[in-house]
Amino acid sequence: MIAQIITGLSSGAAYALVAIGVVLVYKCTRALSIAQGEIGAFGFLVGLRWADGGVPGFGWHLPRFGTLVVAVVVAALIGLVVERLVMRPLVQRPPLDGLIATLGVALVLALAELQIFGTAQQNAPPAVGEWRLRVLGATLVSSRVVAVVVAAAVAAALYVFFSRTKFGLAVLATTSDPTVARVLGVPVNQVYRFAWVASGALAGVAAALLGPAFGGIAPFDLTRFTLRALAGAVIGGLDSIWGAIAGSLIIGVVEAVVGSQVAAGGADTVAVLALVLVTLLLRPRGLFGATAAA
Amino acid sequence: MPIRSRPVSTIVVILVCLLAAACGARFPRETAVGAGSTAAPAAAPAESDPGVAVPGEPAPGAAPSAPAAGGATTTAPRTAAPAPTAGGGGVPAGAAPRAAESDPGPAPGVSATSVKIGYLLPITGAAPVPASFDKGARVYWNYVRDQLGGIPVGGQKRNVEIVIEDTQSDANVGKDKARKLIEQDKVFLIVVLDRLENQQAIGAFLDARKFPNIAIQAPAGLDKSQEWTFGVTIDHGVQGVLIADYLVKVHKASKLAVVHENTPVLTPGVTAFTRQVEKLGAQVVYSKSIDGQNNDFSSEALQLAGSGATATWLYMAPTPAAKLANQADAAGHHPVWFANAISWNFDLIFTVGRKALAGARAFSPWPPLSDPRTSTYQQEYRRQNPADIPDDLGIVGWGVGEIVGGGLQAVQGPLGQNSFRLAMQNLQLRPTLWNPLSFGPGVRQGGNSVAIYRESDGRWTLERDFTSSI
Repeated sequence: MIAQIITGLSSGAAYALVAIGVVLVYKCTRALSIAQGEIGAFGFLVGLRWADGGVPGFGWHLPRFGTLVVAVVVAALIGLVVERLVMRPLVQRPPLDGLIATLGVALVLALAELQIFGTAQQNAPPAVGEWRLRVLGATLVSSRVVAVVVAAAVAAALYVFFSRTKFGLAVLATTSDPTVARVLGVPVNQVYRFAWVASGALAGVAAALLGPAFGGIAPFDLTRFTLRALAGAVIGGLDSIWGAIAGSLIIGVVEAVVGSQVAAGGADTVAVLALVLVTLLLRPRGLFGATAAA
Repeated sequence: MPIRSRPVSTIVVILVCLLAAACGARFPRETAVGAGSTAAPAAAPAESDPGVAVPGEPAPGAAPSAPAAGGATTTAPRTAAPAPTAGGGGVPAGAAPRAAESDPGPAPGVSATSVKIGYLLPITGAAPVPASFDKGARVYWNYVRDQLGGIPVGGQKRNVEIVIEDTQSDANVGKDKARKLIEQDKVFLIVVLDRLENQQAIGAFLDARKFPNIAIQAPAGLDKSQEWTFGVTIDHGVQGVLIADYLVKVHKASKLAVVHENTPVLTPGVTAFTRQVEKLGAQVVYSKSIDGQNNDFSSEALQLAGSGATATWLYMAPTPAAKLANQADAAGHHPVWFANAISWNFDLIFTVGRKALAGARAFSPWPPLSDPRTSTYQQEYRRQNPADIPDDLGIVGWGVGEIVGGGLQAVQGPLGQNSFRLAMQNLQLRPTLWNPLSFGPGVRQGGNSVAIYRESDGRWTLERDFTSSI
């Protein structure tokens, strides 16, 4: 059981990487995004293509770590484009509009992946090397260990960013009331851009770590993953970075423990959904969320 | 509830529904099948009897392989065929009168020089076959046209034209595409390859329309009343027994595991496997159903490692199989991985799981690419596609082409859907690139033997030729 909990925590850390990006976008723009998975996946698949086939125009094959760098850069750029072309016009619209729009973005990206990279699963050696850590009976592979470390580091960095930096305060002001913030001179469009670029970059890190950890990814894989991460964000609180991490860890542990105790497939999914529903009923703002409203 | 929280709650409820759909939540559906209905029957699994006889060995006295089209041979049809129903050409069940056995039936897609057939393949969707899959089908029929001058059918040589439609790995889309093939493209027969539950639904739909169809994957216990459906690979219930025999008797495994996708159509195979393992004195120490759409199998990998199983049957599509094997291998667990027929017995699996699947075994209805019997196929593939390298995916198209060609050649008298159905019902065939087929009255699955593969240097090689017993 201890080993299952440890395994679940490592899965939860993987969810947290994506959930942090979702919460960041929500916190800054009040838009719920489920496009993070495919944004990251697209960046990772570009990195893989350049590692296998060489960088176009140069013929140079990316080293392992290069796939992670390319994934981050490409995903951040996609985030920038999505913000400017899709999400900026929807800023003052209800959150549901943003959600539907990001669903469209995810579908477009997944279909583009099918066309460009094919339907087959793509795999690569981990960008952070192949090593394992044995903890209390559980074996954690390198990608998952790094995912835990990165999730914690990003959360700490964002905490400092929001509480100690001028731009971070500007972001908080924008989330409270973008109209007033704009009047007071806060660069609101920069805030939106920051949210999408940062969450895109984080999605790229997640895809580059999780792709090898899962043994490969294919189009639509990380959208399904994002939905689970979103469940973690809902449980933890949609406007709390630490809540996103806590909720994701809870989801990971619940999946692992229920999956190990119940042979029937889907039991872990049912358990996660039940947890989400209970949270919504008893504490709609999530465990660490400040507000329940958009 | 505060007014301002309602939009958030609405959003979250929608997300929960998306999560349920994306994570593969399934709710059992019962569909009524009545006279004239074209609905698929309820997907209730049939319990398979591990002691059932295993057909599939060629009929005694069958002629040895001759260098005919694809090396197929046929024997004279048996006379004890059941009273036929008229070929429907798409007519719903119960609507057409039962015709005399001599009535060849309608012949859509048939001309003096050609026969048009349809293929339903999952080119996109949850469990797609690679886009190059259709090349193998076209290679065979182009070979027949260019090298053999056509298939001799009813005293005339005819070429075969094919129309390929994408089921999108969805039974409802598959049925729509089947309808299109029948009503718009006017094909003569349809070949179906898809996930088992889709295969079952599409096959039942076509059978209800009295439309001849060849099922590449054969669900367990295909009903004897489905007289228009011909399964050409091993019954999954029968296969479960054979897998148990192989892993216990050949690999001396005393502790086995089976991990399967959570779909009811796989239950007969799992049940048959478990019973046979216990009958042989071994133990299934881990049996788990999974959602094939998941990515994270770290929990299952941990449980497998802790179970002590030395042989594990991954009864699932290639994508989750590769992920599970990779994650288990990364966690230090490496049993003998095993794949059932038409699962991940393609070399493509090793591009994503070479190390994890080292030493894996599989059953297959066709010989591997490394086998000398594929030489004609490979030569033809290169001739028709000079820029490509022949792959094992194309073997499926070639082998199925041999089966269709064998069935067409076996037709007695004028070619029609009814005469084709009768020919298939009595077919004894030894294709070059497919397991031997032996049909007879009431037999819906004519191919109950398998080749046994072993992984070697990142490719499948032949460990044992077609066999129906271990």
